[in-house]
Amino acid sequence: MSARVLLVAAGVAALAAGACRREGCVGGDDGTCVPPSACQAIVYACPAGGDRLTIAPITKADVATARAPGPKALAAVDDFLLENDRVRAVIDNPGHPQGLAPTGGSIIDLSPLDPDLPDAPMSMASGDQVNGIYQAAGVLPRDAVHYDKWELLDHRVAPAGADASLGAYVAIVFHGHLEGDARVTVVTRYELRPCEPGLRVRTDLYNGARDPNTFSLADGYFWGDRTLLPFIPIEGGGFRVPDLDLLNLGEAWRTWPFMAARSQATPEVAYAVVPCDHAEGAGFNDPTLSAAGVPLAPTLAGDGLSYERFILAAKGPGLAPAVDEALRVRTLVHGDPSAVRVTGRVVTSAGAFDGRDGRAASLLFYEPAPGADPDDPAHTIPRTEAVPGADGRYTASLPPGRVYRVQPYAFGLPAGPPSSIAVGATDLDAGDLTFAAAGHLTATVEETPGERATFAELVLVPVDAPAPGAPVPSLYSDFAGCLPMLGPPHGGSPACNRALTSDGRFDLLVPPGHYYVYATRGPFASLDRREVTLGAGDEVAISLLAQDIPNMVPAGTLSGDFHVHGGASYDSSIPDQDRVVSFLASGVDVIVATDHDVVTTYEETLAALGVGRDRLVVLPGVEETPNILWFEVPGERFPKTMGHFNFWPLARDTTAARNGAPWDELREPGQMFDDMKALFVPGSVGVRQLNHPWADSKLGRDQGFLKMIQMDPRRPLTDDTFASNVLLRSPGGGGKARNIDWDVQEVMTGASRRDWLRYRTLWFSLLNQGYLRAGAANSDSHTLSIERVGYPRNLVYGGHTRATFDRERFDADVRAGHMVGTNGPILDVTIDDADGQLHRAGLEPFKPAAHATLTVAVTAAPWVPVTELRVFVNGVLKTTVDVSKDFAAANHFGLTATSTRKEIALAPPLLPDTGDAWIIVEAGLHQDTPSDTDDDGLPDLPDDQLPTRPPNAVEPGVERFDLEAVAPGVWPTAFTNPFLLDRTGDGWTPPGLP
Amino acid sequence: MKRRWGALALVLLCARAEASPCGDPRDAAGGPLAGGTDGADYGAIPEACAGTDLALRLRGTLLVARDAPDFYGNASGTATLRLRHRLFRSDWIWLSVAVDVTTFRYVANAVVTSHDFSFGPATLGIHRALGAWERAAATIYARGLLPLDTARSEGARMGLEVGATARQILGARGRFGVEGGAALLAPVVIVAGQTHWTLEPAGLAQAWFAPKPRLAFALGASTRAEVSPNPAFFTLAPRASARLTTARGLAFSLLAEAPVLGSDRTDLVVALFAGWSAPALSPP
Repeated sequence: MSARVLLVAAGVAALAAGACRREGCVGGDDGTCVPPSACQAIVYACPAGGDRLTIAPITKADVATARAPGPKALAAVDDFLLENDRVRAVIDNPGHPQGLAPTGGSIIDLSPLDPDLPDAPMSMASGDQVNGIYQAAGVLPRDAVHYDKWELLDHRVAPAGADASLGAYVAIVFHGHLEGDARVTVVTRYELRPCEPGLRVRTDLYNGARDPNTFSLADGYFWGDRTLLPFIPIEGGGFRVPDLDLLNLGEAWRTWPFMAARSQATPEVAYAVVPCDHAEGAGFNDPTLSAAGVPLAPTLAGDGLSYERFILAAKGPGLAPAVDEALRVRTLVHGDPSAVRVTGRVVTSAGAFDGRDGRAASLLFYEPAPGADPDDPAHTIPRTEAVPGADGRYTASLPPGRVYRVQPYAFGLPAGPPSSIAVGATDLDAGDLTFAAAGHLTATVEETPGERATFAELVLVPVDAPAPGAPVPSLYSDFAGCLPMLGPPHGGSPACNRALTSDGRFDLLVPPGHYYVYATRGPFASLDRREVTLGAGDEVAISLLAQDIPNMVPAGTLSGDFHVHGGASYDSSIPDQDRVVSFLASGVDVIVATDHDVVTTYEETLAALGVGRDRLVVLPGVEETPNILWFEVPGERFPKTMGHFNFWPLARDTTAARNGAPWDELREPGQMFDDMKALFVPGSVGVRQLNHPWADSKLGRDQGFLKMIQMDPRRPLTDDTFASNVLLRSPGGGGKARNIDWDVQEVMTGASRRDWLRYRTLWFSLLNQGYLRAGAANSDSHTLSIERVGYPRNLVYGGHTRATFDRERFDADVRAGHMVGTNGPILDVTIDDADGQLHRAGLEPFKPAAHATLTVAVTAAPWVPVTELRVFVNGVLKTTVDVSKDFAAANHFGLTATSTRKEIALAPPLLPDTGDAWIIVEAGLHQDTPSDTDDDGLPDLPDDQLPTRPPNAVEPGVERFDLEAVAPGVWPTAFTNPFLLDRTGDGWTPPGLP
Repeated sequence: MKRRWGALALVLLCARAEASPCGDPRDAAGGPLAGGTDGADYGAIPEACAGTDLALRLRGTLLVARDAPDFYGNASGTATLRLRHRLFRSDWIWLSVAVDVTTFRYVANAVVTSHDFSFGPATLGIHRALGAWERAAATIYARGLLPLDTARSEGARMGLEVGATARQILGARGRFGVEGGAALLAPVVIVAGQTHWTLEPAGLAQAWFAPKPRLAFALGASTRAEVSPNPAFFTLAPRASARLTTARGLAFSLLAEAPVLGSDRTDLVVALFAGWSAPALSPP
């Protein structure tokens, strides 16, 4: 009996003793704990002199050099720099929250350094593609980690008495807790050692709450849809991802040996994360957001967990550089067999591989699926992806002792049948792989005959519509739709089926086929087209003309796009150079740079291109993009974000977090307006723009403010509804801005015909109620291919020129609605007043002449079809004028504009018998107002009316073929801002809702 | 000394003849059933009367807080074995051992869910009768929570519990009574070298009604709080139970608790008991 008691006691004591062993902060954050070094089995040998190690808060003096190349680099003063010879990491200060993280303490920059340049100065970083890597323990904002303290550990020289076996390291430790529960403490240690290509990271979580919980302790990798392409080497995985439904997250949950990601654009960087203290990582993987962390298990009250991982960066195209390192780390940490290096060469059916554009070819290595179809993507195990170099040679690491299939890809499609290779225990030369040869297209674009254009765009579309069921190019099944896919759709030029030039010349590899090749310089220039047939290995040279069409745009008018994104946005990866060239090739005069939550100017790129203000004006601004769900809406289960708003002009401060943009989370629009007042460029009134007011939410984040608050345009704001209460209140207190106090709202955003009709209805509702807001038309372009800069755009009148550009006067005209929105046609509309003066549209009321005339001039490039004018009075369509004859039979490739001019008497029945009124004129293709099928007060355009590729002919009724090729989805429309008719001269009175 | 024991036995026998507070251990009104959500029987106010018995408890707990701001839920099912054993063939002192043989937990943190099976924890208790009077009985006890819990990945939870429990017969026929007790718990979590302790008072009071010796019902409430280091009121949970026993000592019970006050968000605790009791040391 006593022996049994002793045995039990010994067991209990052993358990208790184990619990007593000091282990980082798993037992809670007592303020002094420090997580131990992660991934201790990792050993990287240092070459002679390669043991450089740096850790320091970033100061004003070195912030410029601390930023790696690439628009995503965001290092700011007081952030923390960790650097060795292979990698540079920037962790943001807790006071510098970015993206989805409620505080700093996240990896915001991670750039591989060139290992061949061991003494490289900081400026030699190859580039950063990271939006942000932050910690969370669940999917709700309350489960993100809130850090409030930090400490630096500088162990470059071991202090006296320290454990010398630890070696040299530098580390930063952040202390914090879950955003929604301070009882759950979280401490994260980022550590860098000499010669290692990444950070050792350990996070300790302690559940001090009273309930058990499921903590998906993980790093959130915010890809933002259009940046890095994540990859997991599991059955049915690779680049393929299950649909991410946040409400059924379990269906997307997977485990994996590592996760990797590759860039779609320069700088070419790949990343990987390898779990160290768990055999497998777990989480979900999606092009918007991946979570890589610990396997899920309940964590009892009073229990803790830790997560160790190695987050690495590798330079080079494709995934292979990161996978090579990830496999090496797994060997060191988990004892996986050493990977085998497979090399080989790609050749084409026409001979040597043409590597002038490496993105034209890639190789996907996978373990075959069991069963009859070894290439069934649902059951293969993708292992890595290699992009051949300019000489066609490639290298990839693979686990040994297996048979693999190698699938060559080019232009987003299989470029030949897969082949099998057997990989043993030693490195393997797989020999030559033969691709179908590409065609080679060279093109010259002239802006006047004999004079090469500087900036222009080339667009390729197949002459024949693809047959139903034909394979569609994609990036390994993601982002399907480009035809042909000359490059990744979200990357630099060529992207999708489009390419840019800054010297009028194009040199492209193109999949064999029969194409129309278009040269375009925006909707106010002529369009040119050539029909080419390219066989494998063929070389074809063409010349095209895209000439400014004279007298298209009224004098004193500048065109502007007030909503564009570049690579600095978390959901864009366009290199700055390509982004600026796209502005210039679109013929836009003024760009408002509105990256998500970061101020951009493009000034370095403009300078490098030698482009001055006389060619393009860039106004730095920002799109405030809240990501943290917090706003409660009655009847809604989950909290909301408050939509997106643009602000300009702002000053870019490269020493500050987000380049000086304010943190916009947990703020109502009125508070954002208040915040921004002090941030507009000194002396500037600034412009506040409501963006895409009825856009759908994305990953639970509301993008459209009016949709989020469920505004019903049929109900007056005087009604006591939730939406009207939100709109009319001043969240900052008395005298501060109301949530409705924006200056401008988007009526057209991008090419969506459906959205335009809805946004227009919302605008009309506000105008009818006397909430006078200018209507704008912007592209919201995030890519070179999917949304096109300048489609649509605003024509701002008021005597402006680029050479004499006056920002304040221009912005004042924008706020006053002195503009026309258009995606092609140009409207010039005037009304004569009682004094005989001509008025253009704007938000200033005037008294029209007793027998006033509405004079409408419509001009369009010959390839932009126009069939009717529409006149809306008080938001109701009152008259339609058929102008199709004036625009019929135009030669789409001619060099002169088509136009018409109509005069319409401003009198009943166009106007009401009595009372004030407002008028808006539209011109373009015919458009009815569709019915409201879901009873939300907004028109619902049926799917079958969404613009698609029309039949291939330039015939009446199918005029959109060339426009659709150049600007897919665009439904040609121009609209004026309102004319406010104060008919009695006693002050304008809004008509009220119909 | 022997005379005192003998006298007490006589008193007990006589009391039973009318309405003894600790009569036949196979009677249905045998004391409060172990409730709450803690492991094994930790924190559950025990019986005031001695017994030797073995019981299997199947307990389910449910917490559904699906709306803002919680977005949380957990459900668990636990099979607990509990043994009581009189020491020294007397009704004055006895041991209790309880162990959660297996627990299934399902925990939803919004849409992130997990589940597991675990073994443990266990408790070991010693109970000492203070006295049994004509219509009342009282006992003090001490119980230890043993750090045997495979659900814990990093640390161990252990603890002490001291308490007193009593019952009082009401009415001449002994068909009604009240019982309850109070305890002070001192659970300690040691995880990764750090220690987290709390002092938590707990209490229970219930009234029972036994229409027949083999069938009893009880209504009451239990409560628990923390007094140190962070004072907090955890729960006030009304409870209802029913117990059916057989002449051969088999017992079947049902207990339901529904916390209504406090920070404990548990919606419902339901437990089914099946067990066997040894007969009284001397025939009643």
